[in-house]
Amino acid sequence: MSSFLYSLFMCILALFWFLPILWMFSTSFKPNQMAASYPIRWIPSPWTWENYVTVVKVGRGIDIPKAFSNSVIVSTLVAIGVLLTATPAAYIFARVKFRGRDILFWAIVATLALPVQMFYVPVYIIVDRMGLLDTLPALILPPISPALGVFLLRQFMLSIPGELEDAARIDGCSRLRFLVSIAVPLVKPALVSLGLITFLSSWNNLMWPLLVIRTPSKMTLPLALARFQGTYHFVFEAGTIMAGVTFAIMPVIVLFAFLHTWIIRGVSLSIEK
Amino acid sequence: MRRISGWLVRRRREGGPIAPFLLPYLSFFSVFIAAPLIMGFLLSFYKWDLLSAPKFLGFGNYLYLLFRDSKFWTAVRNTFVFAGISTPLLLVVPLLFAIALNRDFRGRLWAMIGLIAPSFFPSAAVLLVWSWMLDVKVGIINYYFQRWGLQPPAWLSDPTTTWLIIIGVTLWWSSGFNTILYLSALQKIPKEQYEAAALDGAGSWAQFWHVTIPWLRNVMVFISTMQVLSSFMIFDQIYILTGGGPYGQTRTVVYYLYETGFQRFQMGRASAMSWLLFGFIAVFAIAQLEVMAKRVRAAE
Repeated sequence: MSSFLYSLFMCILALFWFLPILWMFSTSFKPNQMAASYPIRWIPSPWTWENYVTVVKVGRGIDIPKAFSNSVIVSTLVAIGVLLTATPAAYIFARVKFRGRDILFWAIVATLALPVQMFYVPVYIIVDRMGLLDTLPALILPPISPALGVFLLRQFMLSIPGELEDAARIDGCSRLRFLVSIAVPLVKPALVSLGLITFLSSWNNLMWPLLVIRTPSKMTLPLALARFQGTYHFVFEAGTIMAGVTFAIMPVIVLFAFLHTWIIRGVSLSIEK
Repeated sequence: MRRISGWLVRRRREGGPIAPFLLPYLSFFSVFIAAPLIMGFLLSFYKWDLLSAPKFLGFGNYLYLLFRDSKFWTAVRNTFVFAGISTPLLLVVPLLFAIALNRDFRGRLWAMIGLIAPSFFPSAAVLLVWSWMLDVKVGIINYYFQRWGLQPPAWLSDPTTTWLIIIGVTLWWSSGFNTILYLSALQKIPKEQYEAAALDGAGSWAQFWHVTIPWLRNVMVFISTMQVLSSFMIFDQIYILTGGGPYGQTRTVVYYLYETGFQRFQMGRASAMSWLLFGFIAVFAIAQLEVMAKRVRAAE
């Protein structure tokens, strides 16, 4: 097959696979009464911002801009929290021998085999007793300690040569200094990838926010979108619904277009180690 | 006490105490992972609605679910069917994508965005788009069915087509993730292996079968294990597309867990259910690893 035909074939395949998203995007610019009209128009005409205005102006109490900022806050803080707690712990597990280290480490890693929903009932109760139910910290604090981060980062820290640390120690470098100015720069790619993957999985999570959040102003995007279903109607308001969905998908497309190398590396980390 | 202070102080000579490095992680870990695990286990032996005093039941919750609750078994069966059908599909389709993407061509980035990016979209968004496309009155899919003179199925009112949809949408949504895993494995295959095979007169099909597949064996084991695990946890698709219907025929274990724990607030029974779920996963994972290990040994 010539390379031109191959390109053409692949682009058509990808376009076909991506069609639902293009259809969503196109419909979000149609006036609502046109959204369900046939024959199908792929290019909206006339086109309008009206749906985005409805969404931004908090139509029917579903505050998408607020949900968007909640999602940004929650996902960013979860990613930062994971990196800040897992990095020093991973460093110690990789570098320092202490009594019970291996048992502790493998006990942590063993929790990776448990389905996350096993934790939902008891963590719900704990969050409730802490008085955090229906607050953003209920979304931020529980996902900070998954074993995955410590496990991955430890593997990377193990590859830092021990002589490097010995030399630094002789020059009077403290453990903290070593971690911050030598180890962290060396494992930076792993940190970036882990941060991105954590961010995305928090951005997409539907079930946990569904359990702990009630107040509309504290909802994250997936939860707010799920509420669209009962509030707007596909027959009359598909344009508005699709404008809301576009709000959730666009940032991910942009993130992916610019950072796909890092995201892909982050995903492949889990099998390389 | 002396041992603890030793743990904290003795290390000072070697670069300072280690506790400050470990404590932030360990405190989160103990509050949100270790403690819930123990709590959940204990709770599974009680009847508790969050308000009144917990009542000890012994194995009551487990016995009820295993022997008297037909809904639970339907949910288990549904979950197994979903895992059994979606796992092979999510093993094969991403492999085809990865092989197609694993060469240089113009527009490769666009092809990658089209095929891979959907995996990173929020499930709620993806599912909303699909449930609209499948709408019986205004959905684009029914429109095309009618235009081609076909009678459109009543998608979400029939259990069989509903499962087809759930599996199809899951395939569309998660293929990209596995494609990435395959791609990174494909890129590690040394080129010389193909050259050597070609010298021996192997055609492209033989090369695929005798070079590519053996190199991908590990990643295939990994993907199928992960896939089985995550299909046991299916929730979002059910919550947004079907709500467990029609007639509870798409209720999965996690969806039932959600109904039991968070709609009826039967916390003890929900905990027992999550341990049973773990039991199924463990049995399945061990069995799968056994089979895989046997096959790998046979291949060697």
